[in-house]
Amino acid sequence: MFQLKMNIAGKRAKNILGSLTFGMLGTFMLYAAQDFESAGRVTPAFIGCGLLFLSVLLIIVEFSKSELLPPPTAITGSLVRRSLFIALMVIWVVALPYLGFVVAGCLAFAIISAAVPKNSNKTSTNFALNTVAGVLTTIGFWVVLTAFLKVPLPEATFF
Amino acid sequence: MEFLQHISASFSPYILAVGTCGLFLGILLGALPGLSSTFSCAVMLPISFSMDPVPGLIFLGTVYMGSTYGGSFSAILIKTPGTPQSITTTFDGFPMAKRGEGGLALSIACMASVIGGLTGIFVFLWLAPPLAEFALMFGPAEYFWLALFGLTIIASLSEGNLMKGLISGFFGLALSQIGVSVVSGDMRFTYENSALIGGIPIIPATIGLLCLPVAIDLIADADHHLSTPLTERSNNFLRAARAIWDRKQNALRSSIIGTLVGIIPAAGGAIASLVAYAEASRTAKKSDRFGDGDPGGIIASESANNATVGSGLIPTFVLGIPGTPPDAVILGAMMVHGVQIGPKLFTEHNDIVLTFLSGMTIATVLMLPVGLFLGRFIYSAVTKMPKSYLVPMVALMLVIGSFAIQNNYHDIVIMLVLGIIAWVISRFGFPAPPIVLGLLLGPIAEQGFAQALMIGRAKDSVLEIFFARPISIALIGCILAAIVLPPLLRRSSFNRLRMKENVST
Amino acid sequence: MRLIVKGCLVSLAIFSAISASSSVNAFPEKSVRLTVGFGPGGPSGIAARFMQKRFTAVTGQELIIINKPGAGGAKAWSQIKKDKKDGYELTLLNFPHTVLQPIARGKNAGYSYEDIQPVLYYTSVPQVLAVRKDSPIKTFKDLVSAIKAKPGSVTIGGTGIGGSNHSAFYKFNKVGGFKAAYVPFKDTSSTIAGLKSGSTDAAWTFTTQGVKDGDSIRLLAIASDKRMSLFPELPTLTELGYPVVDVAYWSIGVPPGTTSNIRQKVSDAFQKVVNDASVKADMSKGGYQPILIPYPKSNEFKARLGKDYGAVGKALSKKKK
Repeated sequence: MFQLKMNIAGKRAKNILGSLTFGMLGTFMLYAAQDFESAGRVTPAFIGCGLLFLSVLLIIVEFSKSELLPPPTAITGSLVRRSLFIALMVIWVVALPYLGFVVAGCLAFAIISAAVPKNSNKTSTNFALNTVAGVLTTIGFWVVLTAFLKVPLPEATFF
Repeated sequence: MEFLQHISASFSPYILAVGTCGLFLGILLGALPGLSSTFSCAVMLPISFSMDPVPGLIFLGTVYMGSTYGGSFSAILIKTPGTPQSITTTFDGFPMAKRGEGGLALSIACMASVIGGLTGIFVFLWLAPPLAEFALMFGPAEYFWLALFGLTIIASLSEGNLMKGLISGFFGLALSQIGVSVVSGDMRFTYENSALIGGIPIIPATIGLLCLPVAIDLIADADHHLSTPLTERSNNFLRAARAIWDRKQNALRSSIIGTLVGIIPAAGGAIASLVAYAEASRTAKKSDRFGDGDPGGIIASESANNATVGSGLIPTFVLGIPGTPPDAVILGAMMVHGVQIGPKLFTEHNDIVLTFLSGMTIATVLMLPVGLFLGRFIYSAVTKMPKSYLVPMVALMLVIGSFAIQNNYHDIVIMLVLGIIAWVISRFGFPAPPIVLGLLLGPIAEQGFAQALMIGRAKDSVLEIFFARPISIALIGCILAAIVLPPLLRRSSFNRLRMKENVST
Repeated sequence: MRLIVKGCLVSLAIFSAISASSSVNAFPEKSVRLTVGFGPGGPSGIAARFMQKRFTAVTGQELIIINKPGAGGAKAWSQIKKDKKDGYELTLLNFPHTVLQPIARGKNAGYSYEDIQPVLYYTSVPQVLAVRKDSPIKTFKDLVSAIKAKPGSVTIGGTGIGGSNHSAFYKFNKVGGFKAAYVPFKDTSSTIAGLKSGSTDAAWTFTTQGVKDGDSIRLLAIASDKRMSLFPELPTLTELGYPVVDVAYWSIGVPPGTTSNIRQKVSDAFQKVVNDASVKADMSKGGYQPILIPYPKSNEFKARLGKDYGAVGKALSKKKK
């Protein structure tokens, strides 16, 4: 019972936090819209109003509702790995202009594939294999894009 | 009958080879996330310049057709629309793949694409000049109502909590406000930041919003990305054919909607599939579960977006106004090739049109075997791929896809930031697809509204321009029906569903 | 010892002179990248593609065109600063856009007037006033009397706010003392769609549309200093008593800080391409007016355009406030 109450409280806090954030965005849009021309002001003001109205409504509904909505599907799996993946992506993107597409891509490929959870414990051979696959894939994409599609990919500025 | 002769004439090995090559390249480019049809056609322009005008045009046309279909591969398998046209394919395609029916979903997408593609081409063949007039019935107010109608599918996408879906939609609209305002010239919300000057580009944003959360969830556990197919041993071809036959009304209606929306200048396949999807989910049976892996959603989306390929060429050839964004590239190629467009093309140079269309017809029919073959191949590759390879592969494609299209580093940053936002707010129960809709439809709605208002004020007829034109009235009717009908229909089925859940728990 | 060093230096100087002169002749030695700030099918995209078609045949290297549409071209122009200054990373510059935007948008433009470095103006399109073929407005006189009959009621379409169509609209209204309603569209093909669907009464657009849409629109007047050979019947606004000249120009642009040696090489190489007979013919057939203002004359021409449009740009952005 206590567990259930905590879940409800947690859900409620999440909903309210979400609504408040979007409500603030709406207020900000309303405020910023004042600076625009008459023709360019209408839409942002309308969107700001809509966001504000909906988030206030969501808070009201949250407090007034008596019955439980069907609970959202539970999130399974490791949150640590998720955060790690996001961090790796951010580092990758930040490093891209310095390392260039190929180097950054190969490194990111190897590291991300190492971060994927595995069923078996043959990690060292897998890691080597994935790194080789990563290098081949990255270079393959690089060749196709630059030579065939004529898309100049970021070059290293660091070396 | 003249057309049949031309079909036989264009059965030359050269045209056939050109068409098949274009189709193949188009499917592959379209399947890669981010490489849109417009991009694929633009990349292939130099190759088409090396050919004669007619084969060159067939080549571009088949690249366009192939990429429109190819977008469904990544939409179904990794929830990333390969091209903006297949955004709606992700809504039902990915849930299907997730539960192990990816092979079936791909086969359905292929057949629906061929049906839609042929519809568009045949309408072009027989009705081009009269239908071009339809393009001219679309004024600013009609664009406004069309965009609003597209937004109504937020309702069917946010089953469970409509309010959160709407907030997401408004968030998408808010994002669409960044950048130069077409109607006022203001630089809105850019804050002297060069990454934001051009606004939020739709393709990197879509990739980030829809696919990055998938990638983030992929890494969380060691489970397989897609459920192991249970019934994949049975013949997908026949099952897909039966699925479409059971929904033939849907396929037909969506092809016609796609054809009509394709004719409307600058609307394009993304809007067409949205409108077709909205109509399909509005008229769905109670047992259908749109947004949760219903084959009808794929049929609506894929037949509509491929129908725009042929029909979008109607205003392009007759009026010189591109019907869809890639048509602008084809129009440019025609100008550089020196092909004269306009009604004269149909009277004086009808053979160009007929050869072009028969080449396109053959290529579209070829899409069935080529598509089914590639679909089977790619599906088994994705399901058999070890996760330690799949995850970095998806991440790599996200980076490439958001960068390649405009060769712009800022777009990768935008993809990443929006993707992280989408993942975080999805944990708060706010769905991501409505954000994409808001981003896509916001500018159309705003420009239509402001232009209609300006024109209405100048003519002292603001109300007439919004509410008194036939297409506007029809669209308003559709909007009302989409808002009012589903809750009424769903109430009964929802109650029944809950009763069942109560029993089971 | 000193002699040896001297000898080495001399031979080095000779060698570098030789290699320099050979590289003058050899530009381009690899593929050249040209960024266009608009989509692949618009007037700017096509202006670039004309060159692409013949570039390889003339120079032996490829021309890679990258379309980076957004913010009326500003997305591409705001990134010029970051390009390499070696002559292989070029940008297509539109005038008067690149003069007007920094004035109207200030720091939000993302680039300044000084970042815009044209090395070869190669084509241009004059602006035209157009109506739908079956419009009740048959002639230029009809349009003027319609505008005068009920000021503010005639709707005139154009692409964007503060762009070249808007500047022509502003100039024309100022010269004639007219008042009309300007309706901005997102690109040229939307402007034309608005005109053809009867949403707007008239439109400011480019001669390229006159060629492409000759069957369904009627041109009333052209804002150039003399009549165009492609439209011999079409009177200039100056002839009609309203001296408005407003022509859009395209130039190859290099990043600021590029040496004059490289500018000259780029200018020379592209000059060969646009002087190719078939490129010229394609452009003329498409409604473009080929011109040729190579480096270093291009600098003077930019200064002239900057002066001409500076006042218009200030007026357009003042009118907004």
